[in-house]
Amino acid sequence: MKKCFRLKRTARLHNVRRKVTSVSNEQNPTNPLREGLSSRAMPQPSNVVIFGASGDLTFRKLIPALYNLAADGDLPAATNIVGFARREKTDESWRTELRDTTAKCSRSGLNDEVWGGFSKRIFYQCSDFTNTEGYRALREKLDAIDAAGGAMGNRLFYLSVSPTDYDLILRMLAESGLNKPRPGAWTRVIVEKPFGTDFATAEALNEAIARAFAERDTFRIDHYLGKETAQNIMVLRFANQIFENQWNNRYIDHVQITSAETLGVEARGPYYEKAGALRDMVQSHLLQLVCLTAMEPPTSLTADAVRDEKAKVVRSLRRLSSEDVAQDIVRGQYAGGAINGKPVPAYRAEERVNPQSMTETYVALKLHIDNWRWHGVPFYMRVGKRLAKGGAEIAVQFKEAPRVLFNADADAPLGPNQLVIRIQPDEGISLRLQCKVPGSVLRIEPVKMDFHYGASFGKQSPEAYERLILDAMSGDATLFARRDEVQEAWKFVDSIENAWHAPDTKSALCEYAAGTWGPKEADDLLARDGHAWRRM
Amino acid sequence: MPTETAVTASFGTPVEIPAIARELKKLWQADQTRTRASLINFAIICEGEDAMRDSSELLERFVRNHSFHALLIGIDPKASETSVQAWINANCYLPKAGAKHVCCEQVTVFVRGKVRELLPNLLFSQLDYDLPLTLWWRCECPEQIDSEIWRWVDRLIFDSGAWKNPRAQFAAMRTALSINDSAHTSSRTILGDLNWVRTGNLRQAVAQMYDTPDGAARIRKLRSLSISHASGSRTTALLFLGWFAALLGWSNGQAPARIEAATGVANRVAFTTPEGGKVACELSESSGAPIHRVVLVHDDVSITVDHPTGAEYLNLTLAWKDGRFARHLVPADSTDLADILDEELSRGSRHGIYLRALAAAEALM
Repeated sequence: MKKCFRLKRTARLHNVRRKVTSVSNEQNPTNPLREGLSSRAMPQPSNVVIFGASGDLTFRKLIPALYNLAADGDLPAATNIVGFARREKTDESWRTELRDTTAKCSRSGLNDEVWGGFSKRIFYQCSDFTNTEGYRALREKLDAIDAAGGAMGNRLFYLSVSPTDYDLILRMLAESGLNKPRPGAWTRVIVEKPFGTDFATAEALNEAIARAFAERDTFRIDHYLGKETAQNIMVLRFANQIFENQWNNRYIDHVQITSAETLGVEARGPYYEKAGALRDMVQSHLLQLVCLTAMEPPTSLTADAVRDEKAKVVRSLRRLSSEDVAQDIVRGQYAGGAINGKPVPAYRAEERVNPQSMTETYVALKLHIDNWRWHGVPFYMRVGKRLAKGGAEIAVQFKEAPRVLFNADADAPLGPNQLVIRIQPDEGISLRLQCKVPGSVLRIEPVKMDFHYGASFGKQSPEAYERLILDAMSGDATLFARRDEVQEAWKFVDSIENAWHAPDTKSALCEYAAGTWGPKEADDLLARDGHAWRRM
Repeated sequence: MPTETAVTASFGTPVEIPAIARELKKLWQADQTRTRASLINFAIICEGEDAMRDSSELLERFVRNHSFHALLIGIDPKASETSVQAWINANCYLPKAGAKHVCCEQVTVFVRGKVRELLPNLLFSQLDYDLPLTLWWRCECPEQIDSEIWRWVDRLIFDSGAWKNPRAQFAAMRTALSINDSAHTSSRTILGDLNWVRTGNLRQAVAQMYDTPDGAARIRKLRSLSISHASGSRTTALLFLGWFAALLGWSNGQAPARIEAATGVANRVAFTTPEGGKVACELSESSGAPIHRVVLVHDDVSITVDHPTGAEYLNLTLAWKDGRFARHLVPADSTDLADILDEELSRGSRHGIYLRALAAAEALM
């Protein structure tokens, strides 16, 4: 237990230091004892209401995240959790279920004493999402908790439900008045991705949210942005003068972004059949990585300053014509193959997947960002399931040195410098340089400078959900997607989907064997430009 | 005089001082399955062989959480003959199955006799290039340190809780580091007083009680503050009291009056708030954790923070005058020196208000 405790405490410190500069504490500007203790905005006590309380995400991620925050002393003491779901449960039975899964899923294990105090603040409201009475009962429960010296009326609603229920719940929250904050308090909502399935549905969802909550109180969660390495992209770029000077089309040849999985669709067949790799990964995670890589320095680290710059990147993505889509985007679907020495089935043979499915499990794209910084620099992205290896990274390839002196031999040119930001696993950064091989003859070989988070810091990072929930309680939306970002991203993705599914130009679906690096056509996409995918 | 054999067994391979760099290189070349990790130069200066052995064990424990080039220097200034011995070693761990071992190298030097003359070069010559220097000054003898050394230290770690004469030691430190007023130092050196880190979670816990707008208003109307500390932890308690005084702008309007109480020695002092109110503060000594009870009394609520002996969590109790009552658990500060040092090494910045708290505490020493 001693070791476990030590890890928790150091993780908390780490937590405090993650924010690169101080954040103004708008919520609580006057607690003088906070000076020097923390550089992040302090969360306020609140009642966290989880819709979808009996769902997998609640059990495996949300409650363990809240528990870890409590165990680390980061959760305001008067925070309460109220679960809202259809299944019949009591406060006590829900607590018992949560205890078991939290013990399994919490990164710090489970301390009985901490759980004892934490679980007393967990409540359950059984109701159908359509039932007005259920919302009235929820309101009474929250009022009673507040009256007993609870969360001062602050309410954080977490929609951990199927997107099809968003509109209904938001409407019922508004009708019951639960969305309206009391004087001096706040109400906020966290919405899980996917934020729609295309531009029209995203806009409709945003309209539904806007009818109930102001944009500043809306937190669209993408857990990728809660990852330590994703946050470090901005630090790498804007805290290191040597990189930012070179970060433009004068010095960078191209950028490759990869998100590879060895897993198949597992139990998500029905969802994946509708979504596909483009909607599932590119619209959210990968475009967020493009934004962090390509954005201009924000004027400050406030949520809107950062998100303004990210939104500009999405708006600057060159829209693709049908011809562009055919030429610059490769769709793939995995056939049978082998992963780690074991045979795996084709996508069409997976459970609850249409045997004639035309859904893509792999996409490779070539993008252009039409602004001064990135003019002429292609961004290549690939995302896929059942690939050879799992991992996510951003590789920035610099232009080659001029073809004089050491680079004069056209038959044996020097390789370019390459900066790789590994997001997962084995988070870190590496830089490839050219170096003279020792000896009397001039021979030049590439060498790699490699930084591994694990080897250098050896710290356990908090789960992305811990950071993001705490940020929502603090009112800091920097790591959450804004309405315009989401909608612009959908516009871009829709243009590709529309081209793919236009009646006269049905796009080819290229097959690749499970356990390989995707279809040959994806290699050809880069080969046409004289490039090749980085070996991961 | 210790036997060389006994010391050798603890600290690795014996080497001649001029050969250290060469032998370290051989150490890495001999085994390609190891990754050398190093973010800082971490030097420890301590007195005597027992402290060296203890420090070496700590370094071995830290390798999982911190990457450093370790330089452990033991000194024995009382030895009649001057001599220097050195050893090299690598502390390794396996981050995950199939990965390379991650290792931090350790150079150990034992200097006897003319320590003051030999120390600067021994320290400077063994530092890894370009890495910042964190120095843990683990003994109470500032006269052994040449002022030249201070200019090279990026982070100075010490434990004022272990000092026999903290008032004199703080004064010596102020001189050495050119700390010319209560809050500023012209030195670039970051101070890491483990005695301040020792109350980090306690300060977090207390501050958290005042995060609400009501709470923020309430703290400015504090009526009394009682701090119960362990024997030998008076400096810890004074720094904690100094933290309140510095952040709340209290001035010490009355000289501290020392009174004898039946249970031991109590110290009482009354502070004046910026609004002109009075805060009665009392320090009392009893057995337990370094600070095992803090009681903050307001007009409407009393807040008690208890740290039971050996407990990993603090008990926070709020008792309102109208009978309402609430209890919370928050992580307690470890009383284990290794944990406290580990926490200090995890920091990336200055202790923002340490010098202000220290100035307020020094007035009470």
